[in-house]
Amino acid sequence: MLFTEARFLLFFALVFGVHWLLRRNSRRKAWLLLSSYAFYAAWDWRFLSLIAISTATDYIAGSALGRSRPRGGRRGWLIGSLAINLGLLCAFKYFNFFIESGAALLDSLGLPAAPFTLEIVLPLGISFYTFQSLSYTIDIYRGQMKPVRSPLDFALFVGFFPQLVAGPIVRASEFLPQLARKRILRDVPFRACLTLFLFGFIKKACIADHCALYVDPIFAAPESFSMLSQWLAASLYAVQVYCDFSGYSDMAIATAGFLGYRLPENFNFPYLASSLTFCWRRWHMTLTRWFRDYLYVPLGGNRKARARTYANMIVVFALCGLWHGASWNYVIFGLFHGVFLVVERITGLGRSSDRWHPLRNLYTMAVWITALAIFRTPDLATAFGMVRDMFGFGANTFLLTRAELVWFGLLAGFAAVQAIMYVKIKHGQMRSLPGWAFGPVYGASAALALAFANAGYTPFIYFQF
Amino acid sequence: MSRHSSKFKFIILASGPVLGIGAFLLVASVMHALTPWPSDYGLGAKFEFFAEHKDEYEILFFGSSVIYRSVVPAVIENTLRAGGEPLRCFNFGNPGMRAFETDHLLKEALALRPAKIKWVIVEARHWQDSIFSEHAWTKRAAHWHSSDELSLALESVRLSDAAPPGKFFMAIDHLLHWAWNQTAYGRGTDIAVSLLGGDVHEDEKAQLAAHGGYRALEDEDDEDFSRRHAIFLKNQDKFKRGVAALERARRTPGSLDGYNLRAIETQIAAIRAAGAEPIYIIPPGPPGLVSQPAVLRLLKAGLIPALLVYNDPATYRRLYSIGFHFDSNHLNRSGAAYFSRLLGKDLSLLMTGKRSD
Repeated sequence: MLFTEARFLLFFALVFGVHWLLRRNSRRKAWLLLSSYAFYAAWDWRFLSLIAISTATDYIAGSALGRSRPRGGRRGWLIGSLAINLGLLCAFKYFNFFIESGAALLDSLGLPAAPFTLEIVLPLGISFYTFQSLSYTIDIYRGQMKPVRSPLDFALFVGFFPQLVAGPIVRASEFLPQLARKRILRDVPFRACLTLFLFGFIKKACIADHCALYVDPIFAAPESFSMLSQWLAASLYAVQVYCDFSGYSDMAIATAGFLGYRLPENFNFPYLASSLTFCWRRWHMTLTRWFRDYLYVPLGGNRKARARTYANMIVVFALCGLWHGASWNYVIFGLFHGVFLVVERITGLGRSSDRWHPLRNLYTMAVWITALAIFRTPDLATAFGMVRDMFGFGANTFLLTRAELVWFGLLAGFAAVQAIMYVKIKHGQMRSLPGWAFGPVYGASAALALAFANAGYTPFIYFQF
Repeated sequence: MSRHSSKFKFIILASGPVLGIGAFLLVASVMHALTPWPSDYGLGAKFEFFAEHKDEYEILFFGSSVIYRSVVPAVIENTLRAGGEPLRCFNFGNPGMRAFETDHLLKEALALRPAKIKWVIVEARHWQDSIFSEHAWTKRAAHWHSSDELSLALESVRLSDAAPPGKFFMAIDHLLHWAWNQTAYGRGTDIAVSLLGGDVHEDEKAQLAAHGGYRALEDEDDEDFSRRHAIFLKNQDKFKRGVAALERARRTPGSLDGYNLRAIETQIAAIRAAGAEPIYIIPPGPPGLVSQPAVLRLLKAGLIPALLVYNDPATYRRLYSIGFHFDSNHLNRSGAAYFSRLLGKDLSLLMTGKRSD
């Protein structure tokens, strides 16, 4: 069930209506948990068991950590939680990748192996809810929060349907206190939620899904297209993946908002950043924050020697790449970013001001788009071929068709709209519509958004991660 | 005072959603009105071509791929001319076109008020309760779900012998397609392209002008078609068994119980309102596409004025010969020419009142 589908609207109308009709907070939470599991079961009910295992593991580990003394077996509970959560993640997401990569390595050493692989489907959202659930146990282990007493609250924190399958990755300290207090209908910012949901819909259904029409055929066989076409495809893929994912996040935040809950922001105009470092501070902010707090800092962060800091950055980004999927393309994507971030740290580019600068922005986008070409291509050979062609080392031409010129125009239009919105928001010039105008403008915009949506079932890109 | 102010507050609060819904409906209805025909299977090109040449034709054929691949307008025109009726025909047949989509296309084409139209020949089909699965959730399926067709389709669902849950889901499917149609969901780009004068289907229109809407399967470039032909030649026994089954099916007693009479009545009324006379036809198609005994009952009950029946292997043995078929469902070029001559002669007799089926 996608946020852009008619059946989601029917589902949400029911969830919303019953939620606000129930008077007791515990009943509302039970209803939301039931709805969340129903939402997930619409894809595959069998994988609900994995959510249940993660939930039970971290609830038990968290409670045990809360009871145990500082040196009384706390590490054991943490390791147990990490082993079960990451074990499930590895088994379902990375098992075949590691086995096949190992076999390929042995083969290259002249030791042919017949690898044993599993016929498994990647459970939807496993990378998101595993990280979210884990963060709770780690925070308690560090003494940064107290364990929650209610298993219902904890289960809802892990399984809350707006963010269950593709984030934002919420911290327990952000969400659990909200569950403790009864939500009040008149506190719901309806206009903001409606606007955010519509923006998300437009980003996903009108922009991202249309970009896919141009992008998909080129990434399937990039060598058949000219250098400029490949740059255009990679640039449009950057637009597609941003609009797809930030559109999902907008709709998730709005959906939670209608129910009275607040989820953290996930994007902040990343493509207007003046360096890759700042770009990552504005892109998938809740994941970046997770890697910073639960991996980069424990590795030593920037508190140790310079070389160690650089190594930490590269390790974190390689794992961040791997988080996206079980493929060497993702690992190289992460390493590529890691190397550039280290370069920016050495040159000071990553620490200077994030004020927009045309040359710096051009550099940031060139690196980002090149990395996305590696990310999107089906295998490493195609990725390297495409990057070679994009930088003029292939036998490609500058040819562009008339339709591609229109796509270039649309790309420029997208960049202009982003820039205008950013400037207006930054300088507080975004004015809300007068009360009487909101309804008609919203209604007309919603009708146009529906017409200009790309009809058909196109899952969100980040569902596969 | 406080009663007045609370009343005022309520009006202010309620006016936002009301104005919002009003603006939504207004913009959606404008977009709906501007929506062109979908281009799937050349449907858009066919409709546009007809709109540009509507006053040139006296006879229109509507139906599925069986009509599309069997009715050769040039052959029928020659036959009619030889019989003293110099009339021009246009074949509106289209692959996968079922009864409700045919009905929608027919009514939209006649709404263009073609000046010389005299005969509308429609393939007799089931008024199906569910949406043809291959077309479900396509622009094409959404396009025929106008309010009128929705009402007729829901009537078919009501009359269906499916279990209540099945009926419920069929009705929901129709309603969602109707909502898609009314909001022009996903059609904005098509609307923009059509308003800007793009996608004019010039090549397709040239083809249509040359062949009057007919296209032989042998002329299709797609390899799928040649593969289908090869499979047909390989499985001739299966085809022969199908023909035997058709002969048995024709002998089953027909009933009008559960038949969507309102649909056929409104169709006939629309054709007559355009100044034409309807003729229903059962082409030499495969078994299972039409409940022929039920259609014969319609004729006997006087609910349809004329019916031409060709799916009778005993009478029209050549139409069911391997040599005249491209695949099990469709005639090849020679088969279509032979069938069109037969049809032309029968139409000539029918028009002059010398034949009544």
